[in-house]
Amino acid sequence: MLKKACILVFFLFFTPSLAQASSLSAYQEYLQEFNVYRTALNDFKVARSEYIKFNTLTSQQTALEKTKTMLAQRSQLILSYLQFLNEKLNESTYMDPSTKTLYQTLIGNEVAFLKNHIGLMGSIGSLQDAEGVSQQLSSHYTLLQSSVYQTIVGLKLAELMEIDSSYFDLFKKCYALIQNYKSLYSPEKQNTMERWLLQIQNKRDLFKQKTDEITKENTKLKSSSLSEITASSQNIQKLISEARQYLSEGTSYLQELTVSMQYGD
Amino acid sequence: MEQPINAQSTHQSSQLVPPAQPVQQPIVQQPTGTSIRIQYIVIFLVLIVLGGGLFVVMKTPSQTPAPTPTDSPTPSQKAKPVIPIATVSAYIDLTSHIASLSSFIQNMNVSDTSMIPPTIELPLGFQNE
Repeated sequence: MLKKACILVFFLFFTPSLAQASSLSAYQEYLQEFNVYRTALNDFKVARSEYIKFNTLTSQQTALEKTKTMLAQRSQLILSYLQFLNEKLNESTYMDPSTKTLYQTLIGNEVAFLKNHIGLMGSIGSLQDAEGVSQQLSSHYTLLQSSVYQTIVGLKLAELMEIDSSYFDLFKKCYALIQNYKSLYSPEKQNTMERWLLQIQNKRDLFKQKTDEITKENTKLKSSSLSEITASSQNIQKLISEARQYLSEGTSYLQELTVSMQYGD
Repeated sequence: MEQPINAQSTHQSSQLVPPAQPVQQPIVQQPTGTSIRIQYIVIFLVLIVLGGGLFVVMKTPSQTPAPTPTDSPTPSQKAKPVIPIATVSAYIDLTSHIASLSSFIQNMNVSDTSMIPPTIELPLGFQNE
């Protein structure tokens, strides 16, 4: 019995921190991969310019080696980033399981594509082959970006929903307290408080409208060009800010209401 | 040459001038020290009376207009009836949760830079040359 209790306590207190650590370590790994990629990219650029300039067999061979290294590192970088996103999804406590599974499937598909892409590196024997392999990622990149942005928006939306849940919970508690002490307030005060509660409720309605817009906009990310994805994600960013602003204002109203609740008149 | 002298002497003897009598000067009474003092005292008393009157007039309360109540944004210092809700644990919990939610929302990172996908170079750039 004691053992079970200890296990329960461990899961209750340590699992969230472990999850956090998992996402943090994934991010650190991603940053390291980014540094390696940057070095590989610089080496590749030097080798490419030397090959273009001298057009010798040696410079061609160096260019080929550096290109292969860069391509492998490029895929590795995206893989580590996807791993970081996956950890973020695992950490998200408020996202409903079906949505989480959907995003994890999207991430999983991209990981599978990249692993297959990395497997092709061994078959590169010339710069033309390298161009072909690189082109494979280029043509898939729009889809990959849309999956990534959809996941990011999903994570932000889940975060907003979590805040909204707390907000609504506090609203209900506030309402219940007012009802309990209703007889102690003057009729005018009761009217005022009811009006304020309505305004707090309205803020939540406006927030919900924004989140609906975000969800709608997020589906548009599926089949667009890279520039459209960027524009849509910027628009979504704006909508997220607006949604947060509504909750912020509503919380401020709640604070004002609780102060006012202390007085009968 | 001696004649004009004689003529002159005869002339003097014929016109007898009465002896000059002492002129009766009007007696001007010089003001005395006590009368000056009385004048000053009177003036002083008049000034005191005038000053006192002025002081009394100034001192009387004028009818100042009563302040009209205005809708000021600052809360009035008027004591409001307090409800014993502030000591209820549910109320204390509520206020603390609202405060923590407020700070959480303020600190929420809408544009999380760590989540921005990496920028990669796609075209290799060999075919253009």
